[in-house]
Amino acid sequence: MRVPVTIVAGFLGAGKTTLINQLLQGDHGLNITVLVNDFGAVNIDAELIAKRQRDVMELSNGCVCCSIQGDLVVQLEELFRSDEPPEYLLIEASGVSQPGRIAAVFGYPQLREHARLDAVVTLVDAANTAELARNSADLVQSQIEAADIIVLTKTDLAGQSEVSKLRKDWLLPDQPVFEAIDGRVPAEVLLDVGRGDETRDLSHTANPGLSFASASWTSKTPVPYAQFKTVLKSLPLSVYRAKGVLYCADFPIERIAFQKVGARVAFQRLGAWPDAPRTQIVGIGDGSAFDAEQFSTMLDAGLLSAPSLPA
Amino acid sequence: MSTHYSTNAPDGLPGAELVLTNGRIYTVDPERPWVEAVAIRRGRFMAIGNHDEVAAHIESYTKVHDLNGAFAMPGLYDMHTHPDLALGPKYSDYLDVGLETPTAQEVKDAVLNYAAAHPGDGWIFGKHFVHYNLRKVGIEPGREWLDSFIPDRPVAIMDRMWGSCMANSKALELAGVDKNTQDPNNGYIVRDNITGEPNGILVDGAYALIMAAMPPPPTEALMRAYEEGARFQSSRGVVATKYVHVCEQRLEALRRVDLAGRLPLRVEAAISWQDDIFPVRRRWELLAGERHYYRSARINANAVKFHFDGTSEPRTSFLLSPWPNEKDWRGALNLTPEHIADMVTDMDRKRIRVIAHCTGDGSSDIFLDAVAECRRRNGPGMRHQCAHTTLLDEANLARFAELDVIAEFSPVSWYPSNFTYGARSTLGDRMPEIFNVRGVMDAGGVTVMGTDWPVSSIDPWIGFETLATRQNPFGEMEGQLGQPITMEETIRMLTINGAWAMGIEGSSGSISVGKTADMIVLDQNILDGDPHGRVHKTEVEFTMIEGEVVHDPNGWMAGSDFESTLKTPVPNFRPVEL
Repeated sequence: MRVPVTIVAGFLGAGKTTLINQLLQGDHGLNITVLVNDFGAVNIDAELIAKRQRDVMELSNGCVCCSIQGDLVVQLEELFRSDEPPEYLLIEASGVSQPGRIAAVFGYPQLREHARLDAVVTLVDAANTAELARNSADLVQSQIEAADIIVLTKTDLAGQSEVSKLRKDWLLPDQPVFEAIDGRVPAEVLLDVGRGDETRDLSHTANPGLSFASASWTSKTPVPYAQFKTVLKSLPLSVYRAKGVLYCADFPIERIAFQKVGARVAFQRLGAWPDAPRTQIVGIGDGSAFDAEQFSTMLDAGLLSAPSLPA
Repeated sequence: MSTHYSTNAPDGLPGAELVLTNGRIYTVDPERPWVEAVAIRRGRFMAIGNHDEVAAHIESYTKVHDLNGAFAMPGLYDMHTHPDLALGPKYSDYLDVGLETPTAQEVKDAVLNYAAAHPGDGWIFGKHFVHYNLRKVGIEPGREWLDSFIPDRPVAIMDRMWGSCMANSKALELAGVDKNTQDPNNGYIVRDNITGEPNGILVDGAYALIMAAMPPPPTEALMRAYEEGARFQSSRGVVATKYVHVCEQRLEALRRVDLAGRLPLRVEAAISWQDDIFPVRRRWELLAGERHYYRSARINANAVKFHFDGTSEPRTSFLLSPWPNEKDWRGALNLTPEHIADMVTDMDRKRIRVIAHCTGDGSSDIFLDAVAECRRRNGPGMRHQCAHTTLLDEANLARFAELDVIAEFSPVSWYPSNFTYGARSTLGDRMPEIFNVRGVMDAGGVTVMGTDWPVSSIDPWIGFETLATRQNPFGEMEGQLGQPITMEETIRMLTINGAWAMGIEGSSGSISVGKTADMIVLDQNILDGDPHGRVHKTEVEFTMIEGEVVHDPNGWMAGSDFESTLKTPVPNFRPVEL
């Protein structure tokens, strides 16, 4: 099983460390290995620390935090080839780096058999981006461009009109945007939590106070692969993530898994069906704009009705 | 261009045509290392020595020039460089959108305008687009978008950061990139994971697949590249060079520059053994004998160049032991050791020099083995050349001398700099070992330098100074990397050793009676004082090759028979000083 990788990016001061501190201590049941730039800034409750060394800290919940060494590719290959490879990897991209370059290395032959890029999450400071970007517009744009999902931070410091303007001026039309509250983002949005089980129902995960919802959809009707691609790519932005197994008409004997995070949709062959083939799709989204019924209706319309002929 | 004198022609006037006197001339001839004056006749040194010795050859028709105590030495040898790769694309009239951050519409307009101005079905290649700006308007960068407005001719556009290239379906088809194409080690083809179909984005090393399918730059662009490159080299004191990697178009361009009298240095051109940089459509004809059509006093193509391993940045150099911080990754070999041994043996029989790109200690090990096998089968033969020679195994240092193999080093990262510690950081603890010039010399081997432009600057004086210091010449960083050699050794490495590497050490490479009159005059005595921070700024006041004056910025020869015929301004390819 390839290790899922999430890259957390964002300009200096966008709130990456806050988010990483929260993830490391969160109750998500994942043994995450986190690679950070500023090891000293990671602030973990002493009770949670099981072992602390110069560049590595092990937590009692199974998470490990390491500082990024000189050459990331070397460090990654070391990690994946070690006796205890990480179960889930989170990389903090430096505030002045282009996360797209980090994401690209996971396409290289040396790394792609070990790891699967799950998502690039870029934190955008709602209050200060326009100001920060004055001298580094290219960098901020490349960080936004690389993102599969945007987390807006410090929305409490910016007015609603400021937030709308930021979305319009800076963010891409196909990017889902999550507005963090007090720097908090549910792990379900950031990470591929149902790993190894493409159909786990996410709705049981309790996250009081954070507004997101989930829904699932099932069908025994085979659908052409191309049609799945089109429909899954065009899910509305209120769907942060979706995943599942597909019953494709062109590959009827194989389970095709898919993962969608924002604009990134990745498919993978999983081998023969253990039982009767059926498509199962689970989505999670913004609680205020997403509901289960609407999700089902959308998939019914896109996947079960005959494809409309071009006019 | 040099004048040919028939063996049977009358001897002509007996005196010197040109005398340069009152100089501090370092000859690189151990018999007589320093002289004051030289006399030149029919392109050769007829006498060297103090003024009185040489003055005996001065006649009424002799042009005499007083060097006023200036330092002079034999011309320099740059044994590996690529003006065509550095300049060819720039002079090829490729697409240039011309904006720093073009919108999708601006990219589209520029492509369509270029297509209209260059009708037909030819390639449209150029720069650049910005992923962000395409996605901002809901366009997924890739073949589909390009196909939507230009499906019928091949199009490839680099992205602004040069990390990827976007190609349309026609370009992918011509490049043979489809779902069955294997990814290179240093990049990948973005594809649909299920069908494997490429989407038209090629990342890092993968865009070389597209480049390889493109036609060569037009001959005019190649001519301009070679002419300007050679003119610059000559103005920096270079009299002989190797243009490593040529095809039939490149040889034709070189030939035309030479015929026009605008090639001020000797060129050994190495035919590419592989198509990995550009296709060589007439490779086998060239190697069989067609290369002789391009031969002249200045040009020969009796060499072949191949790529054996990769480079240190993506850690594809082939090493004898795993890369630092790796369990078993040793890098990659592009060709089998058996292929190399048979190829070296075969080329050696044809008297063709094999120049092998060897960056790892494993690839040079296999190359030396191949030369050993070649010697066993063929006996003594050509001097073959180990190029770059970034890392060497200790046990191989002595084999360069034993096997008559040229150890060529490229100066790009043999001194401390941000580039060195960035691009070569993958070498880890082995950094201090890189470019072991001292080691090969101490083991009796012959070392030469190749600037390897555009990988590093084509100005030879940066490598010159840093060979003798192994320190940053611009003062950007403290410290020393690797073992320096002496200034005298450096001078030999860039003169007589280069001549040895071209097989002409008997007729060129030092200021000796009977040798070709190749000489440069400098604005400073480079042997006087600490070279650090100084030698790279050396100005060349005069360059002469085989008695032909090819660089004379002060007009010393104005009005005489020796006035240079090269009147075009010298292009400036020096690195920008920070």
